Amino acid sequence: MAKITTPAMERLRQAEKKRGAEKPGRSSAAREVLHRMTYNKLAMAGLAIFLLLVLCALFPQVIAPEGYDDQNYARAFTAPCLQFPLGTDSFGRDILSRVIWGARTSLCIGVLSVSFSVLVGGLIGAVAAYYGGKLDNVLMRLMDVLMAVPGFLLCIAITAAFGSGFIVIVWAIAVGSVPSYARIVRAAVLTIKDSEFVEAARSIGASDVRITMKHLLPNCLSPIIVQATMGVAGAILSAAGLSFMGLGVQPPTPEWGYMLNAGKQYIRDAWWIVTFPGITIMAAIFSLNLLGDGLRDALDPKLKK
Amino acid sequence: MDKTTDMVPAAPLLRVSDLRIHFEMEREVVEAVNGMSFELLKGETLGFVGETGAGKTTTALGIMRLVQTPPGRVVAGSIALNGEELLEKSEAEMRKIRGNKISMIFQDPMTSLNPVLTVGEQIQEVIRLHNDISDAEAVKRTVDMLEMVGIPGERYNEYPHQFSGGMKQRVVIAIALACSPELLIADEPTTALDVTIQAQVLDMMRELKEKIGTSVLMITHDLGVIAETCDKVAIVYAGQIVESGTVWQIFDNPQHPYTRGLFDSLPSLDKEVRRLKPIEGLVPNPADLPPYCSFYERCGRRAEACRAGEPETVEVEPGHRVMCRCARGE
Amino acid sequence: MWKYILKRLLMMIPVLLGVLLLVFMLNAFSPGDPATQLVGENASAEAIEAMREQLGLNKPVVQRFIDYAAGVVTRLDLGTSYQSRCPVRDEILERFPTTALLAALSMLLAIAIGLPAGIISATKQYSLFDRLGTVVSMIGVSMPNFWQGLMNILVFAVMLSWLPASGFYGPKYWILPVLTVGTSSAATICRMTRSSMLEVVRQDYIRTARAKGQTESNIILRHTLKNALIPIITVIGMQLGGLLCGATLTESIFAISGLGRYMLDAIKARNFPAVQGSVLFLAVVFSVCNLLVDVIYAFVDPRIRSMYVKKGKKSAGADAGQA
Repeated sequence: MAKITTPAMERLRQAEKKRGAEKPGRSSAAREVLHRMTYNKLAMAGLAIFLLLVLCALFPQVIAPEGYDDQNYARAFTAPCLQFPLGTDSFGRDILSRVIWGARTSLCIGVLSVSFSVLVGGLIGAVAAYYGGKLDNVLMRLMDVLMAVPGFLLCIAITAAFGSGFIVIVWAIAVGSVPSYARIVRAAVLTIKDSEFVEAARSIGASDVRITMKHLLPNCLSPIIVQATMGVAGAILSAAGLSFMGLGVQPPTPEWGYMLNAGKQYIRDAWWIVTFPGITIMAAIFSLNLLGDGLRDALDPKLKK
Repeated sequence: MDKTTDMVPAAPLLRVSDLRIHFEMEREVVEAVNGMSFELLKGETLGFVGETGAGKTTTALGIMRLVQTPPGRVVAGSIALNGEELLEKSEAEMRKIRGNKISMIFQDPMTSLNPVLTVGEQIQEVIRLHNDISDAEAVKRTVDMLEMVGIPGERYNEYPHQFSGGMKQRVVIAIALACSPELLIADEPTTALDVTIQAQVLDMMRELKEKIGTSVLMITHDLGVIAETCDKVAIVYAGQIVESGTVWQIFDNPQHPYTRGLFDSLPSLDKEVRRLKPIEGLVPNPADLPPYCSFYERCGRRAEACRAGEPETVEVEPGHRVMCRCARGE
Repeated sequence: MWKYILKRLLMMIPVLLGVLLLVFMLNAFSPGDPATQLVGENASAEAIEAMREQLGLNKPVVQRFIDYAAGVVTRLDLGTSYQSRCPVRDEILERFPTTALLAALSMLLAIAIGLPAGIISATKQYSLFDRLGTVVSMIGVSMPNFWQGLMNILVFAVMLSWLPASGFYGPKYWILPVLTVGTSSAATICRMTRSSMLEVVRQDYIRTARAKGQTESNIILRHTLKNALIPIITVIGMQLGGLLCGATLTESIFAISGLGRYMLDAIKARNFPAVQGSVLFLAVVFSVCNLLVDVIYAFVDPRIRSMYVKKGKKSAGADAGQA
C-alpha cells in the first residue's frame, strides 16, 4: 500500500515526536517536583508525620504497647504517667495503644473512600466531557444534586438511613466527594479534548478508551493528586466527626473520634481522654494538609514566584 | 528630525550613569543591568533595542524605582532627572514623581488595566493623585484624555473587558499621559497588538508626544518601530549599551558586530537578499557573564585581544559611541 | 440582575427535586421498619400493621414519594414527626433561628479575624507575622471543630470556670460555641485571602497602579483586594453553608437545641420524616447561600456581570461552585 500522508497524520506524527522528546523531560519533571518538595520544609514535616501514622497503621501490634481493647477496671482513669504516657480511659485501656491502633481505622477509611471517589468521579467526569451532549448534561446535573447537599450532611443522611459501621462510613464519605473529582477531570478533559494531538489521534482511529487513558488522564493528574491528598484529610475528619456523634465506627474498634465521644462525659475528671485522640486527629489532618500544599506548590511552578 | 542637533545643547532631562541592577536569588546573582549610561534630552525620543532578557525593561523599572526588592537591587550608579538624583529620593517623594513626571506604558495592554475598575476611574486615579482638583474637574479632564486618545467620552463608565486590545492600549497611554509627564517610558507598547493597530497606536503616540512635549524612552526589539519614532538609538546587549547614536548614524553606519547582526537578520524590501543571517548562538546567561566582552562568544570578528577585559567605549563620530575594540580602527 | 436571580431560582428547582428524591430514597430503602420500632418489638402483628397504616407505610414506594413530594411542593409540608406527632416544618422553623444565630455570629467573628489577618500576611509576605500566621492558620484548619469545642470547654468552663459549658440562652453562652466555630472558619478565610491576594499582587495592573504613584495602602485596598475578593467570597459562602449544616457537631457538644441537634436526635430515634425534612431544608438553605455568592460575584466583578446580562442562561449553572 502506498504511503498516504494526511495533514492529520502529519500532525499526529509531530505530536508523537513532541511527546517522545518530552519523555525524558517527563521523568525529570517528576524528579524536579520531588526536588522542589524536598526544599519545602513544611511539606517534608507533613510527610514525616504522615509516614509515622502509616507505620502505626501498618504495624500497630509491633508499635503499640498493648492491644486496643485490653480492659482492666482496676487501672481505669489513670492519669498520664510513665507506664501509660497518655493515661487510660474509663475501661482502663491504654490510650496510647488505642491511638496507635486507631491510625489503622482512620487511614483505611480515608484512603478507601478517596480511592472510591477518585475512580468513580474521574470516570464520570471523563465520560461526561468526552462524549458531551446529553450524557454530559445528565451526569453533571446528577453531580449538581449531590453538590447541593453539603458533604457532611450527606454523610449524616446516609449513615442515618443505613446505620453505622465501617463500610457505610467509607461510602458515605466517598459519595459526597465524587462530584468534585468529576468536575476536575471534566474540566481538564474539556480543555485538552480539542487540542491537536487528541484530534490527530482520533483522526487515525485510535479508540476512545485508548485516547482517554493515554492522552487525557495523564494531563489531569496533578490537580487530582493535590485534591486527593486533601481529600484523605477531609475523609479522616468526617469519619472522626461521625464517630464522635455516635454515627460512625462502632466500639470496640478503636477510632479517634469515638474515643473523644466516649471521653467527653468524663471531661471534668479525666482531661487526657479527650485531649490526646484530638491531638492525633489534628496531627493527621495537619500533615496531609501540609503535604497537599507542598504538592500543589511543587506541581504548579507558576505559583512559586 | 535633525532639529535637535541644531539647538544649543541643553542640560539633559534624564542622565543615567553606570547603572547596575542585580537580582540576588537564593543560589545565584543575575546581573540584569551592568553599567548602563545614557542621556535623554528634552523632547527627544531614545530607542532601546535589544533581545528579550537584555535588561531593557529592568532599566526602565529601575528609573521608575519599581524593581522588585528583594530580589532585585540597584547595586550602583545614578539616575538624575533634571539634575535631581532619583536613587536618593524617599518612597513618598518617588510616588509624587511616578505617573506625574515619569510615567510608563507597559507591554501588554490586556493585563495592565485593572479588570474591576472602569477605564474612567483608572485614568481619573492618576489625575487626582497628582492634582488637587474637584471631582467635576477630574471627570472633565478624564473625558478630555479619553477623547485625546481617540476614545469617545461616553465610554468612561465601561470596563477594560469591553475594549479591544488596541483600545486598551489607548487607555493605558491616556493614563500615562494624563499628567503631561516630562518623561514617558514605553515598554514595547505595540508588541502585543495586531500589525494594523500597531501603526495607529505609534502614530498617535508620536502626535501626543509633540503636543505635550514629552521625552520618550522607547523600548522595543523592532527596528522598524525605532526608524519610525526615534531620534536616537541605544543597542542593548547583556545589560550594557553596546552602541548608541542618532537613528541615521546607527542605521547608515552600524559599527558593533551585534548591531550589524541585527540588521542582517532583518528582511529588506530594497535589497534582494537570498537568505537572512540570524546571529549565531544565544544571549549569555546573565547569572554567569564573562569578565570580557559579553558578545565575544557570538562575534564574527572576535580576536584574542577581545578576551583581555571589558571593551572600552569609543566615539567613532560625534555622538556615535561603540563599545567594541574593532570600532577603534576605522 | 433580577431576571438573572429569578433564572437561578428556577434552575434550583430541578436540583432540589433531585435532592428530594435522593433523601426520600435513602430513607425508603433503609433497612428496618420504623413502625415496628415505634410500636415496640413485642407488639402484635396487628398493632404493627395499624401503625404502618397510620404512618402511610403500607402504600407502594412510588405512591409515597408522589404524596410526599406533592405535600412539600404544594403545602411546604415536610410530613409529621414520628415522635412528637407535630408537623416537621414547624419543628424545624422553631429550631433554625438558633442555628442561624450561631452561624451568623461565628461568620462575623471569622471574617473579622480571617480577612485582616490574610491581608496582612499577604502584604508582608515572609515576615514573622506571615510565617506565624501561616502555621497558626494551618493548625486552625486542621483542628477538628468538635475537638476544639471540647478543649474550649475544658479550659474555659472546667479549668477556669469563666463561661458556661452548655446551653444557648444569652451572650455569655454564645461565647464558647462562637469561638469554636468562628476561629476555625477564620483560619480558612485567612488562608484563602492570603493566597488570593498574593496571586493578584503579581498581576501587571498592580504594577500599573504603582507606576501611577499610588500609595501602597490604596494599592492593597482599591486594586488588590477587590480583585482578590471572588475566591474569598466563594470560601465565605461555602463556610456559611457549612456552618449552617455542620452545626450538628457543635450543637451536640454545647447542648444547644438547634436544628443540628434536632436532626441528630431524629436520626437516633429513626424519625425519618424529621431527618428527611431537615436534610431537605438545609439543602435549600445551602443552595440559597450559593445563589447569594453568585449574585455577589456579579456585583464585585464587572466581567461576570456583563456575562449575565448578555447570556445569563448558559453561564449560570456551569460556573456555580467552581473556582
